[in-house]
Amino acid sequence: MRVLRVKLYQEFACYRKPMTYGFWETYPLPPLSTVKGFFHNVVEAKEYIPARYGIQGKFKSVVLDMQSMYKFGRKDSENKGVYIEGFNKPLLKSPIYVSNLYAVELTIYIESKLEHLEKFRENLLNLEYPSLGRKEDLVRVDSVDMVELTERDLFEDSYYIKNGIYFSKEKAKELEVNGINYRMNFYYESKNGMRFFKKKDVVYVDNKNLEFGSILYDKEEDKVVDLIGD
Amino acid sequence: MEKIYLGDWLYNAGIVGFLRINNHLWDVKDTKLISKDENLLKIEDNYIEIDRKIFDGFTDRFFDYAFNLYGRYDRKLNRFKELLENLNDGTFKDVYKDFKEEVNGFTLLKNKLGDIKAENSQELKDLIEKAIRILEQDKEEFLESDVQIFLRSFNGQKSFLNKTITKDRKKKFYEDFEEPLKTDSNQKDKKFTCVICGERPAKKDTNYDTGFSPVFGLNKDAVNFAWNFNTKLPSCDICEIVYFCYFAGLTELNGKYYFVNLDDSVESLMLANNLFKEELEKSPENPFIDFFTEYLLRIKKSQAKYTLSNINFLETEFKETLPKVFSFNIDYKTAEFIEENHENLKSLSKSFFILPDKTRVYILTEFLNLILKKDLNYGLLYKIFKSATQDKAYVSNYNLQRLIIMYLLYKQKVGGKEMGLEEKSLWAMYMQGKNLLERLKERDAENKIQSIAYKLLNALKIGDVNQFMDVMMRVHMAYDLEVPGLLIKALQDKDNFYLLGYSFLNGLLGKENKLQEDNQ
Repeated sequence: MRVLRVKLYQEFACYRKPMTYGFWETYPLPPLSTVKGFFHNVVEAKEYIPARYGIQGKFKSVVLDMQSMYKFGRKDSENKGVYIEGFNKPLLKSPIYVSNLYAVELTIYIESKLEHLEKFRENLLNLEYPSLGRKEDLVRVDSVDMVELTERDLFEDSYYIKNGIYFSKEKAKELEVNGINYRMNFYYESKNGMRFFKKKDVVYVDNKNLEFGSILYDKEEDKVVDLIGD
Repeated sequence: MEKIYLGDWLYNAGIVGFLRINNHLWDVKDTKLISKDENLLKIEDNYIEIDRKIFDGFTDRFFDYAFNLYGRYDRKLNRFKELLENLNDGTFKDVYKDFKEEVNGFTLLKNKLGDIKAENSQELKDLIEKAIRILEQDKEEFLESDVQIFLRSFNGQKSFLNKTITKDRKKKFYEDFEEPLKTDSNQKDKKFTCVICGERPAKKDTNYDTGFSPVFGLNKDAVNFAWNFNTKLPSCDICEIVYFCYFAGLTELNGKYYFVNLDDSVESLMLANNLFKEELEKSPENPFIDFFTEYLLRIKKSQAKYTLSNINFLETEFKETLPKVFSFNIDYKTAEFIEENHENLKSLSKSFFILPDKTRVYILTEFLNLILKKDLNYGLLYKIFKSATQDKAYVSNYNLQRLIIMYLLYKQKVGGKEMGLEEKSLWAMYMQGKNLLERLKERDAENKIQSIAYKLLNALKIGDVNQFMDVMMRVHMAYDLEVPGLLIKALQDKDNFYLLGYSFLNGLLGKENKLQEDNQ
């Protein structure tokens, strides 16, 4: 199977969990919706593109940061911040805790129609500098290659996971691995000015010997790959 | 059955709180969280599943839990009884002053008592007895009022917490929550699904904002924080009640409330918070590191190293809108080190040494503390050996050797240092120390051990390789032993010197220390 392999590096990143406001918690790897958004953004998609994503990587540490955020406030005598005309609200500063991952090395596999993958490769550095997670979490693109994945029989040839990886719940069951279960946003439908996310169950695993079942394998990088998506 | 998945920290605290409020439905057996009635409650990896029948009797459980957590009623009642016991003509003035102070700020009681004037001890006695009578007779009313006061700090002014509600709060709660939750009769918003769970239809006119909790951090003004400038975040009745329970997931210490957040599973989250509660009660001075040490010993397997590197402690106070967040910030390598050495660390759990001022220092706690602070120095080993020479270290030689080996592994793994040393070199050096000990015994020179150990320890303390070598050479020559060849490595590198030196000393002190033997 031919897929696109993108190797990225980020000095800092926060893959914010939904519904976190006073304290932005982060996922250990970019969630599906973030990678999907990144892909759509880079290929300048006008409509939804079905694709499957394999997300894996590692980071050196988690750093807690305190940041000051601009936030609209209530218009009253106490709020003396900068006044924003169009919104009829003052702009205030508010402290927020942010969990940052430090020194993140990502390998992302994308499977989709060839034309989209080629456009992705072409556009990646032609557009403004890409970021993943928050806007300020810039990525350094280390390589973008079309690669061939083969099936690896784990009964015969076991594999030890050294980096973090997301498995779909079904794959994790098949491989008989436990990890941290996340119910992750996948794609959204916009209704009445709001986003409603469909979710997917994934399992995050970062150290385990795989001995059961079979899985896609990238020989060149010595990495197992699980593609999650449509 | 309704599924409730783990989410942000506040929601997770809500799940822990919801389980604690319904504590009749689960049990902890051998560090496993087990449901007592799977028809009502199922506990899975990252979610719990409930039947709506679980809400039967929820009002009472909810109020009782909050009432006990607040604890003001019992405190006041006991205080009044205490005052009554201490009251006599001589203490009248003081007791009267104390009584007035206790009543002030307790509006409901104050109103019921009316005039709190007392001219003498008999009048005061009657007054206090009256206060106790009122408290006992009208307990239900106090319960409702106290719960309202208490929960307002956590949840704003929703439903029964609204300022205009001055009686029948339980009834209001029953009508607003228990009954419709139980019968699934909340009016649904036809247009929206709940944005939190993404599964159930939203409850009409229910939005997820600071009305759920002031610490949440999003209100309808902060539009730039929301997608498409829309702060309308519809929520379902189940997610709403989960957020409403978050107060019960917190652990109180001196007016501050704590929550341990981690991603692992419902079970880990629940057990970690219960453990934190225990540790807080045991040692309120340093609960974080004590918790972490204990947590490490108890977890059978962590699901992923990521958990170890991402445990957050959240602290909130009444009327504070921003929680304080403490994170352990263990880097990945350290987490990996801790995980790989879990057994070694565990073996040290009971070992301690006693300082000259008689403080007991637990070796494991201290070691972890240094690792977490990224300040693993040899001062700890010196302190342990110093105590050992005075028979005040309660640690076996074997475990002490494992500690020295962990120093080596840590320096190599986390420090990334190539040391040219292996575990077996340290064991070999340990054996060399033992050999010297045997020889000294053979020659009836056991009384020399203390002075040799003292000299070696001193050299190790100040990092003086020459002095150490000098002592080693002289002793080995005097007792016809070969000087260990490994010592050459000690000359090459300071870390090698400390590790080899302490390993040797450990062997030498081997059977000398009776207390250590007892401990074995």
